[in-house]
Amino acid sequence: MAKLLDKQRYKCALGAMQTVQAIDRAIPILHSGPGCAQKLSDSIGSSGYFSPNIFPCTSINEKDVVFGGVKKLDTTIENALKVIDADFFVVLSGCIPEIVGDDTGDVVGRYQDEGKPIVYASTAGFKGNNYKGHEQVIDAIVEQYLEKSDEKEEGLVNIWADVPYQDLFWLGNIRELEKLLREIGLKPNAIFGYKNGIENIKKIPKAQFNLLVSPWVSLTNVKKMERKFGTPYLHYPTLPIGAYETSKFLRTVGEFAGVDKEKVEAVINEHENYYYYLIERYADMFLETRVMAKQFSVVADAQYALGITKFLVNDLGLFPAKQFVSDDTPKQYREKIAEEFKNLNYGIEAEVSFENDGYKIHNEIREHDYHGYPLILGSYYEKEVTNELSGHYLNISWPVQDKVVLDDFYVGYTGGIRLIEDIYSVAVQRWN
Amino acid sequence: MAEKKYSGVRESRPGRVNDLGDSSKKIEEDFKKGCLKRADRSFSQGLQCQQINSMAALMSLEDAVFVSHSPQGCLGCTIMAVDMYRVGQIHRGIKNVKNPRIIVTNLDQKSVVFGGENKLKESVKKAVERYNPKVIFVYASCASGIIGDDIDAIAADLQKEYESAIIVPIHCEGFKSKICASGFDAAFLSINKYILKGEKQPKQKGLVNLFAPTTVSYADQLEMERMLKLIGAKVNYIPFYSSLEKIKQIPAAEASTSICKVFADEFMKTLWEDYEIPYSHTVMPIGIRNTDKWYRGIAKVLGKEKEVEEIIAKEHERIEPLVKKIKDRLEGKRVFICGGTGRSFAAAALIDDFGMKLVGLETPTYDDDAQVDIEYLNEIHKDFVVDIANMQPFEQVNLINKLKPDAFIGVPEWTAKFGIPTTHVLDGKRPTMGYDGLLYLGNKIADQLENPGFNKKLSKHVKLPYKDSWYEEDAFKYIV
Repeated sequence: MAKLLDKQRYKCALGAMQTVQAIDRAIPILHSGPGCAQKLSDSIGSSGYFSPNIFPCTSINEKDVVFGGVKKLDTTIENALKVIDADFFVVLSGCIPEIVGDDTGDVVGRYQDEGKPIVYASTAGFKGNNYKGHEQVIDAIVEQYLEKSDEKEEGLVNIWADVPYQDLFWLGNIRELEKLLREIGLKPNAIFGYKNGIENIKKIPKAQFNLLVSPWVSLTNVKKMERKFGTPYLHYPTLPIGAYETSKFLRTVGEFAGVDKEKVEAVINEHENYYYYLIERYADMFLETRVMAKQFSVVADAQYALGITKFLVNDLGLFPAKQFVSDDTPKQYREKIAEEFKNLNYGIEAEVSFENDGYKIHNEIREHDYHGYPLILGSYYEKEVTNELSGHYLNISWPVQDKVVLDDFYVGYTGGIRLIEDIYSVAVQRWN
Repeated sequence: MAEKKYSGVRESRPGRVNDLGDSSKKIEEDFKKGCLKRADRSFSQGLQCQQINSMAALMSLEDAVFVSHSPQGCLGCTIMAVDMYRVGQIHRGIKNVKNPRIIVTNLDQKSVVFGGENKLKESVKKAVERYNPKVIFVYASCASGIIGDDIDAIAADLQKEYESAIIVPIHCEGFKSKICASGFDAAFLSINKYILKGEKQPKQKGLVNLFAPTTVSYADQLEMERMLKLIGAKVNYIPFYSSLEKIKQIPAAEASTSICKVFADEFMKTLWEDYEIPYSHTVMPIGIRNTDKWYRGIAKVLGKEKEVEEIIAKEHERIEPLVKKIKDRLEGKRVFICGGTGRSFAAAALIDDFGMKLVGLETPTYDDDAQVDIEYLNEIHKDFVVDIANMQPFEQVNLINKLKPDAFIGVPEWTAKFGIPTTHVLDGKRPTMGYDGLLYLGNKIADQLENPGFNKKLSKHVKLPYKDSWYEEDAFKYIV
């Protein structure tokens, strides 16, 4: 786990409350201190049917610290089941109960025995960040709620991607991935997003395979599902943004799923035609933009750092300066991810730094010669340093303050176009 | 004074209650008889913790670094501070806008077993090396408190090593209080202990400490300063957007007052006890009645009673015809109000300026301060429902569903789903206070209430997340 965090770029494991929130009609019950729900909420589209202020919470006080908060948890769950209209409940335990030793599993187990749709996950803040918490929640669902299914549904594919809400574009990305899979004749099954709730969770064990689109998040989850349900998985480490990577993605998925090649090629062809129709119309802008340097840096979690780097190099012909992966990627995954950064067209290699210390990142950006006004895609913290360098700045990673996203997305062919629109909307503001 | 030192935990004051629901008349009587009992909720929704308030109180201070001695999640909402700080700088005309310097020590499993001392030391060291601040605030958290890290002792050690910065530990562990305003007190207790240190200073003629929390906009700052200057005061605006120098000036003031009822109210008592600075603690200056009251309060301390009456009379003459216009648009509307301690009561007083009728009030705590307001409100509005709750939207929607108000003032997102027009009085970026703030606010309320279209449409398409059976129950069922 990272040491101190200067300008932190994620939350704690209890931040997985937003993972639960992203499942339609599922609600977290927090066994935690009084302020946790509020601290872990943000204003990026989190006032849906359930929102952090709605989440039941034990709000542990001094007495509970001494005597334990198990009784309070019990009444909170009991009454939540009476008051809240939800399909699925996920109890998340925070720092205090985990330090004082409350047996959350025992309390929740009693409700599970009664057949209530409830699971629990240990998400103490000191145990890890919300990427880890996200995996814990999926793990809890797989472990405590689902059983192996003998019946498999041909063409049914579970989609797993990065962490909802931590990822500003999570909803749009999932919907676009579902759409692309449908186009090549598969039946996507995701548990996050619009109308993707309890029924989709129940379908998980029936899938033909798990598709993981992320450099590392949820790799442990799909491996567990392989063991428990016998579901194979396809790990596609690069978030496919733009034509080059998306076509590669569709071919890989098509082949793994056993989809007819011609069908996949037809879909690709159609998309690429339209994509280059758009690019051609604006080619003069890409070719003639003088204000923006050819070099760029991304400061984001592994998925966007990698996905955007590949897109800007392979599709747009920009050149990578140093890239910063700021999600505290577990050590065992780093080498493989760093290799992916070197796997760019024309033998271009991008240097990547797994760094979440904002102070160091900013100094490295300051010291690099971008040969012009740099393009920096990152969190809101990067706005300050980009301004200093008179650079072009786009807020694509958490924390977010400069962008409103309802269901916009960067994944796929359309996503690539959206990212181009966003980048050049910044660049044209100083066209002259 | 010394024998009963205030701990910073608001619940420690006798007669203060957090979990309560009843009619305003009944509560007034019960409080008088001393029969309001401290209760709890057997079901509740998330609160705001005091650590947020401790951080918010100081986050805009210049030349400071903020070290949260906690796991990483305690700074999950840091973007709110970043936004407020940046916006505040832009409003004040600063060109090179800075982010606040915030470091989290990132307590992990090892720290839970072996203590987090080394992490805190490392963070303070980095804070000094990187930013060379004049002051470093160290915030305790639930985790650091329970594992028993002695942040006072660690800070004292570090202070010897780093002389260039004052290191100020703040005891704001979330679990210690259900009243988030305790966090303000925790911050001020530490400011007194580590920065002011009880050392008296020669008084500066006319200097007035004006305490303001983060939620006060720059426009409101200017208005408050304008009003105080009219009665001859020189304003030391603290701690929002101020500096260590201004904090150090506190003991030199001739008087103190605050913009918010639960901000620095305890601290102003301490300033009287330790530095003999008289103070005025009245209400939040929102609406004509409250602005008058607030203004007279500080004028009295400064011995400017006569002057202030002249100014107030002039202001009334100017404002009243304009208020009348707003009143014509809002008169008779039945309102439910939900807000923090200061704003909720201020809003309740404000609606009287517009001739609106109060049917329900939700506010976080009840105490002698609240009693004064309730007595006044009971005179005007006869009887209304009071829910003493820190948020708890499930109780709010239950009440709203029964009371069916014409309008709602406060955090709008739940009541909006009933199709009821909503608006707010908390605006940290635009004016709400003083005589001119009233006009801005009033017109905004009227505009919003006259076009309920958004809420009406929303109510047709979405549902609140509670079972139908909940609305049949007593809203205060889970207060035990």
